[in-house]
Amino acid sequence: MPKQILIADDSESIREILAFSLENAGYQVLVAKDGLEALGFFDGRSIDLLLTDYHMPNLNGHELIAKVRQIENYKFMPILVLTTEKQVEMIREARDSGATGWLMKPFNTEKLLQTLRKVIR
Amino acid sequence: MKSFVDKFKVEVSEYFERLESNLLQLEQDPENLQIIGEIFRVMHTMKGSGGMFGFDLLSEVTHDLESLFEIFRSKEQIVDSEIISFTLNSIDGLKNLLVENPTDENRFLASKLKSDTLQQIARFSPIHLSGEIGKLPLIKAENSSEASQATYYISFVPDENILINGTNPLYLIDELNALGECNIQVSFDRLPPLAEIDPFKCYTSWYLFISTSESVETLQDVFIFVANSALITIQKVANENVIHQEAVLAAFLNAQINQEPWTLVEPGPQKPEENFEITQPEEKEIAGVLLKSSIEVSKNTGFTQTTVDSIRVDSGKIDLYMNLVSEFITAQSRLEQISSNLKNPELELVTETFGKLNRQLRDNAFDMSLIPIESLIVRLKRLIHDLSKSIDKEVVLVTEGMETELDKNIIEKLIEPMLHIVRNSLDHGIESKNERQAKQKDPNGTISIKASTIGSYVQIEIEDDGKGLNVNQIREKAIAGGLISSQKKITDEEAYQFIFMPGFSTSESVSGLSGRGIGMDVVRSSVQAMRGSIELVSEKDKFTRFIIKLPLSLSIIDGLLISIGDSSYIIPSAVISKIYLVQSELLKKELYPVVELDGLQLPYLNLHEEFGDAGETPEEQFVVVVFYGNHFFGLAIDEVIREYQMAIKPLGRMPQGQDLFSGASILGSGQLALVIDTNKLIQKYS
Repeated sequence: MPKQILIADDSESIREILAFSLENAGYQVLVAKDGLEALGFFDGRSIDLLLTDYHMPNLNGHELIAKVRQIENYKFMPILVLTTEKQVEMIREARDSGATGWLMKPFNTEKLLQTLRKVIR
Repeated sequence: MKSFVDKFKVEVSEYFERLESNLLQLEQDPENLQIIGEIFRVMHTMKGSGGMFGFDLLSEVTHDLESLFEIFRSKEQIVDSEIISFTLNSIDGLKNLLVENPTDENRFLASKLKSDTLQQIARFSPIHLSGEIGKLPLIKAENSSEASQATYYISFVPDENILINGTNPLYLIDELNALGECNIQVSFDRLPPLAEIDPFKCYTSWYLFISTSESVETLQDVFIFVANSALITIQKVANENVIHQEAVLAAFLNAQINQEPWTLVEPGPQKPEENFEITQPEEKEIAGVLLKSSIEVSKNTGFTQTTVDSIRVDSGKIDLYMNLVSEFITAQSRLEQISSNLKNPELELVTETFGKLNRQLRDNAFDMSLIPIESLIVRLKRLIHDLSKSIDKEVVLVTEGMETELDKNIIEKLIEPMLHIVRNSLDHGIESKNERQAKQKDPNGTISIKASTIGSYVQIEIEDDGKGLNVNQIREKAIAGGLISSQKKITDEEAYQFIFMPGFSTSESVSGLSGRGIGMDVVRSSVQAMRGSIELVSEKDKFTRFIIKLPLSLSIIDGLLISIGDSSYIIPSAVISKIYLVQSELLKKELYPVVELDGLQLPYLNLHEEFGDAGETPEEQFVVVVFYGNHFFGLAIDEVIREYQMAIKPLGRMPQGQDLFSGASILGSGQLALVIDTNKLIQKYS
């Protein structure tokens, strides 16, 4: 079974380039255009990783993570937040709400996969 | 890639529109933090994505604009009209930077936009902002400029709650392992007593040496996500690879414990060869002292060089191996057969060697697939714990001989029957607390499981100190069920046998736990399927005891090849006590078939007669004395051929329904020999 990754980002281009890179690397990818849509995917199905943007309409990353962590099945699922440098405060906030780590933009496929390997195998 | 870039360009033009409309709104309402926040976020997204798609100039300029708006977002200053028009102008400039292959003109524009923005920032905030927002609190370590090999010591003590955010610390250790050569030790020092273990917590710490050409920063980066939820120290041990120099590692650890400063080990010049011999004894002594200290250190930190003394093997591979060994044994007996026919001394010698090796191979294969019965008990403990809670009975499990080993295939197949027996004991056997007190028994029930090896059999006894079996009740049920006539007297042993009949139950009510005793027939047949037997002993209000006997292995046994008439049979060596040669005269059937051997009266069964087609009685017959329960029993046969090591094949569908034979083996000659189940045979004929 390939690992399933949920991408939540309001930018279509980012969603697509992430999906493209991850699918090429053999992952199964789900995409959501905002936090609320992403939350809908956590219906008990197996999701191995959530890769979420921080600033999104409806539910932002911080709120999404906090909500996901309340669902029994996903308490230990790794969550990575997409961010840019200098966002110490945001990283702290994301961690407090339950994120596992973060992924700095800009990134290339190699960096993406390398970061992923820190949290899923 | 093209399509992503095109999509991004469309998105960016939307961002521009959003920025413009937000800025115009902000002009009317300069203190509206929501609008400022929105502008900040759009810039942030543009910056991040711009870098992703190669629009570095766009990204750089937006970065500075973002810094400018950070000032307003953090309420340090209030937006003025100059900022609004400045930003709107910058956006117009940015639109020209949305090009894939920037020209010098583009670059010039970008640097102009950046310097203008920095001026604006300087206007509001005297302290230059960039580079101010700190890096993550990483652990300081020594310089790491050189790319040559170095050895580091890393201690990684995760916070107990590290697992909660989805971190798997093992991946980080894996990541380190990929960066260089590691000597990793795991410490369980923080592990609490079993009862206090919270499965959602991490009690493990890791201490390791790594020899790598990567920089300290790379090593720190491994832990970047857990920097705030773990104690991590990274310390350089040597500017070379000393991972195999235990003395150095031990000395380092010693210094750590005594909090002494550590001087880096530098790659020294190669020692001249001729000096080596002279200095050798001295060096050895130093090494000896250091190694000794390494042992002392190990006590404190759990750090020792471990040697691998066990490996994990896929059980499928073991099964395959066992199968091959059993095929090998069949082939070998064919070789023996041919060799004894040819009477070629050289061939006989080789065959003999071959046979010896084969036996060793078999024993070895056999040993490999044995696992302690303990693994089975864990499941039972869990069952007892859960069930006794739910039915409000206090039950203690007592075990003995759990180190007894059994073939793993047997253990797997034994789980269900054992669970069933224990479930029955909990439900029907052990009484409620009140009942037990009324009977003046310990209010806590006991279930005891004892295992031991007897010859090539393993005996497992499961006993509960509950109410025992009610023989009268069983008898009544049997009569009601039409199994026996109402006049017939039955012994207790016979009564117990009904328990193993399909659908037989003495329990008055159906219970959710074990139903109505349905399944004891299944328990018996699964034990029998493993060439084992199950017996039952009970005393009213005292105990019920199941005794399960199982062969050590399912597939390969030592046996005695015998013949009766024209047919060959096998008696498993494990049940044989002695073999006598007697005159057939002595075996003439009298009132009771008893033969006197070595001055002892021994009941016997003349298989020559029982197996029918025997033909003429030979003058002399062999009596094979076998164990039968706690007694001995004689089996009179025609001929003992030889000891025989064999791979047992299960009988097909045809001979099923009989249970005198537990299997068959193919002899070297290609002939078939049936394996006699002596217990069943004696039961049936005597």
